[in-house]
Amino acid sequence: MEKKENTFVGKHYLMKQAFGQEELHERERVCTREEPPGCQAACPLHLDIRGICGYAAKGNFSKAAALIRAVTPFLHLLAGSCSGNCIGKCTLAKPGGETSASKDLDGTTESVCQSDGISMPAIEKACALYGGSGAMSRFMIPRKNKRVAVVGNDLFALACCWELGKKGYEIWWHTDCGSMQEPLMKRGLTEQEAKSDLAAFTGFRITRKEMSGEQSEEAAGADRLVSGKEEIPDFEEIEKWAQEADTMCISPELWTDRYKKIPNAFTAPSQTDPAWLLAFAKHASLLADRYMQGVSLDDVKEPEVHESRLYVTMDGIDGLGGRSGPEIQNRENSTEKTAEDSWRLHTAIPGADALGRVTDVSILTKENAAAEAARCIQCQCLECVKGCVYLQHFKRNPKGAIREIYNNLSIVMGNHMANGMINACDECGQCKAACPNGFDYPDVCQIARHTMVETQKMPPSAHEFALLDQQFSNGEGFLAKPQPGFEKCRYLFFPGCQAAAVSPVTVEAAYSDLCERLEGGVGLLLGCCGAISHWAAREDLLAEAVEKVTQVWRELGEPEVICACPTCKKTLEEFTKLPTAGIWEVLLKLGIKPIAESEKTNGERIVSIHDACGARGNRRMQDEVREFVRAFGYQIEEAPFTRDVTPCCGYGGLVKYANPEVSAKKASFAAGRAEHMVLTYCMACRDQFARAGADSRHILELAYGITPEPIPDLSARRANRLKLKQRMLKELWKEDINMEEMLPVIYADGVEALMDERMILKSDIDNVLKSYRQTGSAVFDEENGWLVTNTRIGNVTFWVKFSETDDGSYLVHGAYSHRMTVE
Amino acid sequence: MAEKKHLSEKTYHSVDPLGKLKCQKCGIPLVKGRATFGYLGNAFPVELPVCPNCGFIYVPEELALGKVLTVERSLEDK
Repeated sequence: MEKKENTFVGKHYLMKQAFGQEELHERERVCTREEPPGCQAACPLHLDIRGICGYAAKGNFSKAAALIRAVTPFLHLLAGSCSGNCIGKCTLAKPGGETSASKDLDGTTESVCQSDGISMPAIEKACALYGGSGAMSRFMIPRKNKRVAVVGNDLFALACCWELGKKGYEIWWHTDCGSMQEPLMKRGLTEQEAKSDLAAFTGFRITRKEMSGEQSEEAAGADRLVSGKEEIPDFEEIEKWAQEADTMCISPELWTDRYKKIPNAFTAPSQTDPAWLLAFAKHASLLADRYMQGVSLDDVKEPEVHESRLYVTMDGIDGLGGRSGPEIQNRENSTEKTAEDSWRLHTAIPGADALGRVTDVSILTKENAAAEAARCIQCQCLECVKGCVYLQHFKRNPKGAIREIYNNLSIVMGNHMANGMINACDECGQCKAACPNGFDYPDVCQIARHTMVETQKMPPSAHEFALLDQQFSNGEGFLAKPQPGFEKCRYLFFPGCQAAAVSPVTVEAAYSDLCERLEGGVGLLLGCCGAISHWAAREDLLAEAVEKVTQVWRELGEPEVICACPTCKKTLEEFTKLPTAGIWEVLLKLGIKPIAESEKTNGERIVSIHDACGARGNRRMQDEVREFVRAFGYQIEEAPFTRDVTPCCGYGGLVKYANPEVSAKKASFAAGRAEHMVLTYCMACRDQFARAGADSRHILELAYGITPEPIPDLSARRANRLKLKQRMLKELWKEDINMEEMLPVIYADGVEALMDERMILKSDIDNVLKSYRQTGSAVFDEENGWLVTNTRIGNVTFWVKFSETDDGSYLVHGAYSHRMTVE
Repeated sequence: MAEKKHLSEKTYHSVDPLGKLKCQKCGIPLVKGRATFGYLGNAFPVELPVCPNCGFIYVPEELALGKVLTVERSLEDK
């Protein structure tokens, strides 16, 4: 990876680029969401067919026509003679594409048929008929003091006149045509249609010049060649016209190799398809324009069509075309109609079939053209956004977001607007797994966090609470012991900090079971694997945590580590050489007794599995957990977004602490996917699901028949870990530990919830009140009748509103904090 | 003509105790006094309720969760 060293900019600013521009572009290229859809890529003129259909579907043919007229004014011509290259490239026409169902009046499915691609000629025709005039305001046309000679009698010449006329050049059109309509009428347009297309020429400075047919005939000889029916003007005459003008465009029908000597003359290869001819006229005109501006002609690409790289799935496409289901927030041109509405609409439209396809172009109305356009599924790739609440919340796609992040990291002075976005990503990897090209957005967020930490730009409040929690887990809450009666162990049970915090009873039950059924001794390790510091990009703390776990592992005789948390397992695999196993696979090997129907939670027989982020990309682990659950006699129904594309519960990446709002949204989305009870195999997921009000169980709670305890708040999560350590030490190792005694405190109604929201722990309150006992410093608020005191703990000042009760305890009325110092 | 305040006397925020706050330790009412908020190398002179005897500075909840929090977040993103 391209990385640059830290450098000091000026006196005070530590600057470091996460990666260079080349790498940024390389990463951006992986995403194909901005690639044109198949239809647009196949059109020689690269018309914005998706946009045209979007407007036409809403009956707004003026805007649809405007999109075409931005490229070419010849709407009637296209409608009549466009070869419709796009139709075959339409997603609806692709094998395995849309399978459409036509319905009876009662709505039952009658038959299933493969749908056709969108008929652009019909929509082009409708745009020509109902799209209004293409005349530009004469004030819109710039006036340039240069003249272009256009030579020819065909569509190419006419197209060149338009391309250069709209740019404000004066045009001398050397032609034998009696009128401007003639080239169009020769291609089968009626005079009225031709006039309609030519409305776009209003206000252009075009002077028609005779090509002097007689002179052409007399000058027959070496300088005169005949190509088809067109007569070629002699070379000297062409040269004269070229000299009279600044540049010249010559129709391919009249072009001879001798004209190559004229440096300012441009043409195109002969074309039969009018769309290609128009594309080449555009190309020749662009060359002429650039020639007049004195700009290099080397970079001008010839017209071409290509295969689109845009990835499109038919997810959410109803049988009638158009997308149904929940709308993605940033979907453009979304329509609100339901499948039923579209069907009713289509059956009532003359000239359209039940699928909305135009059946008779001769009776093209606004309605049947709109129905045809409404079949367009507005191809776009939203694979990453579909299941990610974070991306939806920030209304971003990973490609755009990484540029914002890159810019955010490049700022020396000013506001870092993307800090919040960087720290709200759970780095779960769902978007990467969902992307057909594997766009690695979480990696960029992780790099960004590292850079922010290294340049001291990481907001201190973002991860401090979580890092202190890790410090607690590996400090006060830490416990490492061999099984009683053993010095060295064959196994080491590592439940992870969340299991001990959320459901200590489950940890006890699992450890007891493992000790009973495994031979060779099972050690116990209560602590943190370091995942928290990894998410916070604190390499120093990660190394500390990993070293601590590794040291215990060595002391206990290098046992196999039985993890109860997929993230712990993944972290140990990534940063250590410790052999690991998931508790589910160990229990599977030891044997599982199915749960009797009568004992099943709420009588549920069918459950859904929520895969943990730590199991993403690990098919084996996902399968093992499913096998584990089936062994208990449950059926599994996969919820939408499962296995590798499972959404994060909102705990990953420390989002819970850095952005509680996004975390709650994620939990709610993840919990809302399943119809049945959700089983998780990560205790953080289980806790998040419970907070979102979902019926959920951890697979170990299921295994040991444990009824989930009430949702623990932040203080209870710490207290649970301490009590678990104390209890296990006492019961298994007959050791007592002295717990620091806390002051007697009573909390007024609602205060504990408020403290949880403000991330204030009961231990913080205890510290503040102990400090008050020592110093006696407080303010008496006469209005409310309580005392307010404070203490600085670490980087935070905590304030407590309290009153002393007669029995010597404290009644807490409120608590708040700030990070600023005050003196 | 009003006397111009010197730049060093500028205060970003002012909270008046309004005679409703008393220092528990010294038993005397808090008065409006000068204090300085500091964060990430920035300093903001303010006027807060202060005990004239022991110097205890009181930061009301509204201020801590309002302006102080907003400024903290702005400075963290600088």
